[in-house]
Amino acid sequence: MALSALARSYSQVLFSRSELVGGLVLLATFVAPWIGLHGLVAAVTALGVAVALGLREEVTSEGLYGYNAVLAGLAAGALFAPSLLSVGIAALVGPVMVLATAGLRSTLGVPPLTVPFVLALWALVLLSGTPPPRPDGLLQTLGGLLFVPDARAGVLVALAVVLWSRQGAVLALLGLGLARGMLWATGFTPPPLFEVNLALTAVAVGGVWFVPSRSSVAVAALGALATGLVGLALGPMGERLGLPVSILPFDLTVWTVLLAMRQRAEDRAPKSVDAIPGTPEQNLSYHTTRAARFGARYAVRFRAPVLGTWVVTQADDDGPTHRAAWRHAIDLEVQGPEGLLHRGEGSVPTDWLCYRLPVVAAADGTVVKVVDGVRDNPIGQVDLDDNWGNVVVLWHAPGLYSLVAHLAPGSIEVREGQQVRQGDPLGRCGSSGRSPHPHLHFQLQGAPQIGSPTLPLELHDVVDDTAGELRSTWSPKTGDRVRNPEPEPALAEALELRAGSTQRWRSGETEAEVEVAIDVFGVPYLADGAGRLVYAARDDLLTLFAPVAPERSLLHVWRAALARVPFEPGLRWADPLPPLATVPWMARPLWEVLSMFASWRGLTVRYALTSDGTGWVVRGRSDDGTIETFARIDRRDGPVELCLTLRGHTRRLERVRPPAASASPALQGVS
Amino acid sequence: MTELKPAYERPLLVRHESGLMNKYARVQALEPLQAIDGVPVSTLLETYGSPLFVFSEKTLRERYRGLHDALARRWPRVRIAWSYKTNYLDGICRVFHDEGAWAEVVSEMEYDKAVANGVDPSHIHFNGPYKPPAALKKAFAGGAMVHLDHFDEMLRAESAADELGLRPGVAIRLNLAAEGVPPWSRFGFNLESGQAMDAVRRLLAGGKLELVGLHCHLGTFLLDPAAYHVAAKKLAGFANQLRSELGIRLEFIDLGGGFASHNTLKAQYLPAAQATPSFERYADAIAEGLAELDAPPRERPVLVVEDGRALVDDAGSLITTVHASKRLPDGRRALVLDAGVNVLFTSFWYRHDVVPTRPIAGLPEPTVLYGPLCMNIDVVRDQLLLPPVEVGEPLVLRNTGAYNVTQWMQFITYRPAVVLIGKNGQHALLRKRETLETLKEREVIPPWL
Repeated sequence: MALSALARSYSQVLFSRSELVGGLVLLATFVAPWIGLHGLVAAVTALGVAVALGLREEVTSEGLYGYNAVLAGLAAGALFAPSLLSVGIAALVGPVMVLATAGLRSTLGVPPLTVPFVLALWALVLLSGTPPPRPDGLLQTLGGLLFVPDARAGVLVALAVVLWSRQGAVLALLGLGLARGMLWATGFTPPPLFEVNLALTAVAVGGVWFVPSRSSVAVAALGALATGLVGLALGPMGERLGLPVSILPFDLTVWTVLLAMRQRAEDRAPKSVDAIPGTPEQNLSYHTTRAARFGARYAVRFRAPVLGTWVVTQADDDGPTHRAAWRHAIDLEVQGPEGLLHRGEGSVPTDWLCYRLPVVAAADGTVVKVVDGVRDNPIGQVDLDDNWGNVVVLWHAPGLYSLVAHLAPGSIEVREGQQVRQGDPLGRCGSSGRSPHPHLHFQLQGAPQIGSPTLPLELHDVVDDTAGELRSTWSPKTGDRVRNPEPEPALAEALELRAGSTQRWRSGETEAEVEVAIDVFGVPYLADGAGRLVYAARDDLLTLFAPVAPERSLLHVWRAALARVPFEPGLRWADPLPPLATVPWMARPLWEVLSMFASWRGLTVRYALTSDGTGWVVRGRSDDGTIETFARIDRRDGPVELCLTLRGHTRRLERVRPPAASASPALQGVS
Repeated sequence: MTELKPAYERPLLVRHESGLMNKYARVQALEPLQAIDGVPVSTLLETYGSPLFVFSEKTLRERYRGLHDALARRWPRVRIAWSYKTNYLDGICRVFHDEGAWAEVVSEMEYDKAVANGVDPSHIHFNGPYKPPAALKKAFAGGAMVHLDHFDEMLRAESAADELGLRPGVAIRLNLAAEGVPPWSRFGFNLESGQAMDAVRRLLAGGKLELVGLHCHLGTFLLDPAAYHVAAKKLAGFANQLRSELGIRLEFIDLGGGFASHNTLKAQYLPAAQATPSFERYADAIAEGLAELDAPPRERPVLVVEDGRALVDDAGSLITTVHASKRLPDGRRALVLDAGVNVLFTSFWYRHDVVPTRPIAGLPEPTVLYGPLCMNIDVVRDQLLLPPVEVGEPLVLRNTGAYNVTQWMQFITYRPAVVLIGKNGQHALLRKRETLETLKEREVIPPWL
């Protein structure tokens, strides 16, 4: 634990959380042993202080307090002659860096980067009266980042970058190339660490805080050029003041880019990284899977605002009224077996099959607006004075509201200010307002006022009843039949992963334990010895996310075989498997680099859930046939067999069941 | 249809009666049923012989979906348990299970049949007043939902659970008074007298069973949905009481079956087309009643219904052939059919809809339909207006899918074949016509004879 946090203090200098990368950086600092020692002293004292002060443990263990301490300690080693005093300075500067980093983390709206280190460097330079070493040559410059201007250190740093991320390495090369190009074109004398500044900027913008893509690479290149200009401008000024600019141009430019990009109306091209940043490859994989699974538009998941199966009679941007600023909306009605929307003549509202059926909340929210008391129109007439009729508006998230309109007068069951959950009844379908016959109007909008412009309409995890498929993100068209999943309680119970429980799994000759746990943020996950897999469980759906684990981990088989499971037998659905999981390891580096420039969505696996006498079976098959998956879920024991076949190579896991499971007296006979 | 040459009209002398010209105008012509789901009746008779039961898979699925959708649009969690006793031909049951129906059984035989049809035992509701210890143990071991009918059964269930080392969830059956419905007080525990609460307290005191459901079956062929509103409201009130006084959260509330099919009872004044309520009206009544539940929406119990007749009756037809035509001493015409009450048990309480398979011209006259048995009770319809029909004429008795193929008798003659019509005009046997071998297979001759 402590060693891992120590190693990560070093790896975070290169944005990495890998202990191996940290080890290589540590090794690079010990090319000059005295300097390396000072860095280590600073890192250890920094860690000690972070633990003693009880700073956030998950930040400490990621090395996110320590990397400034490492750099400042190395600076102390480089600027002072090795002595008890210099070691003392290193031991002191480490904790100061922790406090500065922690302080900036909690107050700045942007990551503190290496600003604390640069300030410390200036203090140390003023104290010692010596300027830091001035590396010449590219590899020496790489080592110079660690105050070890030695080609061997440079090689180790380069190796660490490649090991961390191939995409990162390409971005770093882009930065280096731009640096050389700028110098060649302008003829300026570069300040020290000029190339490193541009490389760090390219990596940070192109792959760490933004999802790698063509657009992120373009912004990275522009950012690197900006860093170059800042460097060329500040360099001579620093020389005159006797203060080295070091990697300050990188800090200033990345801050500017992060703040500037937040001003965009829509977070797209490049997409910022929503989660805690990982390697560029992880960021890309996480984002592509998430986009393909859920769509990237809203954080709130909207279900159908009705019970049972309804048909869309006027879709998004369709018909006479879903136009202009109000184009994103759907009208829903009920269709009888012959396709008719009403009984008999349909000459009175009560003839219409949807009339007075319950309307429910599409997602959790708060009631912000209720209109009641507008009468239902006779068939064929519209009320243009109160054209929305009886309305309920719900607030779901900042700038995200949903509205149901044309409800029956007197049927509204909620009041303003009331909190509702998805599925709670709001009122009943009616024919008030601009409604010539009973129907339900549903839309998403950005403001609480009735008549606000609409937002693009999406329903999530609803069933396309015509196709019998679950759609993770769907904007249904006219004639589509929509309903919410009808979960089978027994299946939900069988797939309930109880925190604190462990399962034994056999894979060939070996056995491994899979533990169900919940982390400090309340996020449930599965862990085997090798890694972790985060999952989300809802009333009617289980979703597994990308495992953070080496290839050998059996969690990869879990992810493929039980990717998403709606608790309704008979349903079919599609789910993407991250592209990386399917590429042979030999081809991976090349693939990783190319995937920054092309939008590969990964493989789509089509799943189907069926039930049999003992439980349920989930079968999956990719469109191109390279992947086949199989999962058997037992009624009592939950998942008991998981299988992943990738290009003919099968990995099969079998549950080692406790022998006395079926005779347990605590067992509930009925689910 | 190509133009037919005018049909031959049998001459009939009728005394002029001014009574025929009454305020209800003339007798409506019978709409002939030439084909069932696109398969001509003549083809079916040629292939399988007469008499013949025919089921429409299309209608089975439409009725199931109609009921399911009507409930699912009004209540968030809905389950239909197919009432096995109504028609437990495996092929029929499988159509419903394919649509997602659970099974509702009332005997160990039906339980075994459901399991043999691939139904997960935990998807079975086990009802009825007679569940011997062996049946209870089998049901508990399989995870089926047992509905307790009386205190003696509660005792048996407790010892069965004890022996198995299980603490199974069970439901209790209630009977209650609902306006306009004759009370079915012989089944379950009475609600109004407090017996139901006693049963719950006794069950909790025993500690061996867990109460997860309430069940009430009002009766059969109930034409007034308001009765279900009363029942649902009373069950909801009882569930509220259980929740507030005893902290019991129910998994389901079962309103039984009893929805009417498109048949006409003998005592019924209006014909089925006007009298039978739509599934929506039953669903409305139930959902309005259950709205009294004061559980938060997420803890609302599953609504279970156990219909049989309303799902299967309309899908079944009995094709029969006129064997003879004669005139009774009272002047009425009588037809002898090749199918009687031996296969059409329901003719004791329904006025079955009888239609020809081709347009028949001629004046309808009062006619009695008799079956082939040499028994006085064998009357299929005691009175209907029928145009003159020929010997050998096929007639179709519609809406005969419920109860007949379970309550029919092997009496005097063999029982007929049963056929299912599937998609695109395909048809196949559900049950073969009986032969002498069918009878002899079960019979044993004592060695001294």
